[in-house]
Amino acid sequence: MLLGLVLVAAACGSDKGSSSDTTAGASATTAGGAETTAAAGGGTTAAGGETTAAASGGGATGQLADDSRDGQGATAFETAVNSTKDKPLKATGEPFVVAMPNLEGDAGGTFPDVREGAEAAVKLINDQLGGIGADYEKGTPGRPIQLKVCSHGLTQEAAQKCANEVVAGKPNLIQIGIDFFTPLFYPVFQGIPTLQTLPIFVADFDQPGVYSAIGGCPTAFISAAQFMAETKKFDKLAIPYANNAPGNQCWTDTQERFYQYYKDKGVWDFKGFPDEPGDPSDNAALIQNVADFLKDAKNPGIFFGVQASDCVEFLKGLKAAGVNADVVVSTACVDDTVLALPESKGMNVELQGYNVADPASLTDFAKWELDVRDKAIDAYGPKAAKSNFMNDSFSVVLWGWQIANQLIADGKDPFDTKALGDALANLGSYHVVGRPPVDCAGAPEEYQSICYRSATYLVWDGTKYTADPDLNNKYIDVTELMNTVAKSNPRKTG
Amino acid sequence: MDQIVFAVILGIGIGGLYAMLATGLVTAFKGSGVINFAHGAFAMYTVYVYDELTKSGTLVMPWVDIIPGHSPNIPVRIHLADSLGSAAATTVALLMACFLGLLAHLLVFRPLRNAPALGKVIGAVGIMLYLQAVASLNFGAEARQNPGFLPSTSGDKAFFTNFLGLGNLPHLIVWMAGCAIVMGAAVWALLTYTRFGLATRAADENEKGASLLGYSPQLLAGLNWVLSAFLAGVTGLVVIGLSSLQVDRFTLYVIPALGAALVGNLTSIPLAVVGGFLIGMFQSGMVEVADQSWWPAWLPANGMRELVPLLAIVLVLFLRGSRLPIRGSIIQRRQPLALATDHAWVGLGVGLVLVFLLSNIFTGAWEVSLTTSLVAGMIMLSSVVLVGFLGQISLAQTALAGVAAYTAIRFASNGKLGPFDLVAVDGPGWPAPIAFVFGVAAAVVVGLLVGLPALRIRGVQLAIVTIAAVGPIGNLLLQNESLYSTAAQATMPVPKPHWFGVYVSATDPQTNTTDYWHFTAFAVVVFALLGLAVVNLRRGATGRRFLAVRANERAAAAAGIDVARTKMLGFAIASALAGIGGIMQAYRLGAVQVETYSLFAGLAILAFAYLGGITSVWGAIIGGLMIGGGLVSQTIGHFSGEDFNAYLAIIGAIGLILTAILNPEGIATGTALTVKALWAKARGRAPTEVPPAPEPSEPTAAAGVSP
Repeated sequence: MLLGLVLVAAACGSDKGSSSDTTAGASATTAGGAETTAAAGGGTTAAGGETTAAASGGGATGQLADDSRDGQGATAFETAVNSTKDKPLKATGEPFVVAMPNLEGDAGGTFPDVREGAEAAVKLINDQLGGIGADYEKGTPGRPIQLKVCSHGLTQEAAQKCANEVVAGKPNLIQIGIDFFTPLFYPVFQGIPTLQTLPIFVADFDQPGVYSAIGGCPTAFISAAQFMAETKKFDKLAIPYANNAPGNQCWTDTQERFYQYYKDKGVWDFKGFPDEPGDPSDNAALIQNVADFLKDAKNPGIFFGVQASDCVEFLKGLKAAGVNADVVVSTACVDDTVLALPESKGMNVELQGYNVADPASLTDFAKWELDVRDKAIDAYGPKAAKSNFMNDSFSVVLWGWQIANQLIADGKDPFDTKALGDALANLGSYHVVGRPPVDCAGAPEEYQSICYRSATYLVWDGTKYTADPDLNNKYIDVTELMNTVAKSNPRKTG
Repeated sequence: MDQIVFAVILGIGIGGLYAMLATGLVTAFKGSGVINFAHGAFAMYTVYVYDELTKSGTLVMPWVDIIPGHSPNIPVRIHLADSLGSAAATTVALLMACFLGLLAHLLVFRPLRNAPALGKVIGAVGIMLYLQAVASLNFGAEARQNPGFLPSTSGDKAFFTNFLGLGNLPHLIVWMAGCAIVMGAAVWALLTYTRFGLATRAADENEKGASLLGYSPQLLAGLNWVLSAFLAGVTGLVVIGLSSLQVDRFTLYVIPALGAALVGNLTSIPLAVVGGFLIGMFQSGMVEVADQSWWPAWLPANGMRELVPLLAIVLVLFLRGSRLPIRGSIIQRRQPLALATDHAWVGLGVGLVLVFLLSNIFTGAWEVSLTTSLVAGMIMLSSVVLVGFLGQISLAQTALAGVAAYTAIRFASNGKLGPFDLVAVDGPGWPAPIAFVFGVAAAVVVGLLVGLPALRIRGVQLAIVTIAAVGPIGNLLLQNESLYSTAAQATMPVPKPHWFGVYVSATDPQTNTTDYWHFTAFAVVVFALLGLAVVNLRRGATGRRFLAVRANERAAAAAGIDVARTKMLGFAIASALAGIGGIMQAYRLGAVQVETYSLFAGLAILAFAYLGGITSVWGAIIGGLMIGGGLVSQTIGHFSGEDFNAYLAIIGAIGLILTAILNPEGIATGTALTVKALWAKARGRAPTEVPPAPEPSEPTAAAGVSP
């Protein structure tokens, strides 16, 4: 079960998976060739404010950010970094408390990288960016962020203790790290604005007052449905999925009803194959079932969502069983062993966030801010191995910081939990460091906590990733599909 | 029909895995009389060692350094090379397997050679928990993939294309089946035609006779342990490419393998191999059968597949129980003492005061730890009655707790969606106390079914049945949507319980934190009542009958005790206790999943109950305090500033093994005996209850069969 949860986390996020965020492409750029210029002058000075003085320009020599493209606050972030690059501004005063429950210390599921990503962001904010509400024109610092991490093991008891501890600390904002007990947290966290690093459970998808800058499982699986139906145009789709609590939740909520929608439109026939994750006793027969189901298809497809534990054997076995179907996978089915298989050649891999495997697809601003992020993490000196979870956690802390700055810029108080919550709920296109912009206000009701809802698909050619030729690095925005299916086939609650 | 037949044929792969494991289990049993529940864990650790060697060239020893950087710095990771080739890694990994087998014999089973069945079961469970905990710490949680070394397990071509006109037979499946047959044949030949094999068989059939012939039964046992662990290692390495590496998965393979070994009467390797193949083929066939349109939806396919090993085990034990081999030792130690608790009211009073004080002084995390200990203690009481008093080794008590909880939730639910519920649970919306009673009744019914085989078997065989029953209880019952609504597949929200107008959930109605004092008080009262009931049970006629049955069923029957009735009564009482604990667990957590009541949760309950003292209420109290997340771990974590939870499982496993060897009475009874002895010495007279010398035991005591 625990492994199943780890796999779900992998499926919904991108720990060290396919391609994305960690390596290439994040090189610093000094070019001033900004594609846009964005608003300059006036207004506030805190990073995250609607506009900035932008006195020192972007990147090294010029302004790179464009709020209309990179989200509101992008220019402000660029300004904040550049203003403090040579003269760091250290935050002072009463801290803004961010509490973070996180799974750690239990070998069954431990994410110290998430904590360290958050700590790196806090260090950057407090030691260089001047904290919350800094005035870069005047050079006056704002308030520091105090990160209170509650690391806990993989039991309900430990999680509940942590939840109690978190609220006892009276935080101004909660950032949930990676946690498999979030449904237990939400009743306790009521009334406190909460950022979710990785939405995994259905409870994470539609929780009032909870927001995620990462698309998680809904974006991963629903974008896969749209990609397979509209781009790949499969006429028969087989979906092995994990027959455990999180697997069944994901299947019911983010997969089956979307596949059914396309089936009702006459696009395809589909069938789910519940598999005991990690238990090989049913694999051979299931593979045969998949082969039987797909045998008369003209353009068959297979999707591995929450199915990583057995996907190696599935990939190998399907070929041996004579199945020649296109394979689409979530990041849960991507690791060195999978990529080394000859059967993995040609499979499509889901990607949320920037495609750093293809630097040409990145804007100069994206390259610049990825470099800022990587250098900040390096400067912090994490003990855990770098991972995309670390990057995501870093980005989410900065997201919260930017929103708090935004409130100050709007003349409001970030210590006012209601004001902070309202600000999150009403975010339009908003900047997240190192990631494409998010949109909380436009989130469908069933997925009201999911502020990022786009993904693209890459092709693994056996040695490297390339853009899917039909998508060509274009991102699929699943908001419309979410809204449509919510009407035709709403979430089951009984 | 062709599809079903082909699915059955495809089962030869997984059947081969069970057959290989069964071969190792039979080898260990023939050599030492121990049914090694840790056999799968041996395979698991060997595979992880192999994987680490091939990837980083590092040999990871089977222990941890709890205080790294401080003396003594125990070497855990030994770097041999940047990475090792397959042959070298295989050699080193198999040497590690042999090392594990040797350690298991020398450190655990040799000292336990004269222990009763319970001690040996606990020893094996202790090794299993230890290896799992060490592997989790040393290798991490992430699933690993390793292609293994079997040739050509990948590629477009199958081993047999269009086999019998049914479909393609992949390489890996054929190789696994072949390896199982070769392994079985080789071990069978070794034990049949070599002097070592003959000596092993001699010691197996008559240890005293083998000694008189000049063979050392313990040397033979040691060699067989090494051989058995080597076979486990080979099995792990053969199947490494079958699925991802996971710590608990390999451990669980031992359950169907036990079924296969029992088909072989625990002595016949060819029959054990056949048993393994049959179970694997049935399981595989069930996947296809359950995919048929006529298959009833109320029978979850996964549960049915897990039921196959249980049915095989029960069938074999029923049909051949009286002829299953018994490995008697020359001397056999007595069962742990089950002292009557004196001055229970004093203990109760002191306990209540202490707990109420604690619940008022320590709030928040401390209160959660307190209730964790109390609820775990309640379930442990069921083990005290069943295992400690009646001598029936059950590993299914926590699963029964789950049956009670799920049933109570279903009856108390009304189909309305709560503000934080994902799925509404349909139900009549009965008052909590009535739902509570029905939940407990459901646990008793299922507990009696699980206990039925105990009418014919006991000891380690019953342990096998109950460990095999946990899977079907979880997958066939608890996750059955027809029984417990669609929430059964995910999370069951617990309706807010009110008892006679008083809210008794652990969830604070104002803050939603789970440290509400109402529940603490309720749990204290319930635990006190249950504890008193168990104390009185032990002191009364029923308890004495239980102890008589535990000591010697034939003698008990001769004394006029209805053994069957007594056993069923014990199972019913223990199931009720477990059920009450299970429902209290649900009240405490606010939402439960099937994993809340998993096999490993159950093993932890039994392990800490044994550590505390399996024969007394105080043992359940001490065990509850020591359970993960209980007051002891909270105290250590609080004052040390370190998170010791990661090491707690290892410490618990080592404590369990040491208890089985050195102090079978456990902490509670052992301490009571010591205090009594010291008190008697101080007063200058002999203690009233002193551990007697080893009792002569009937030959059926080790793996006994009921009359």
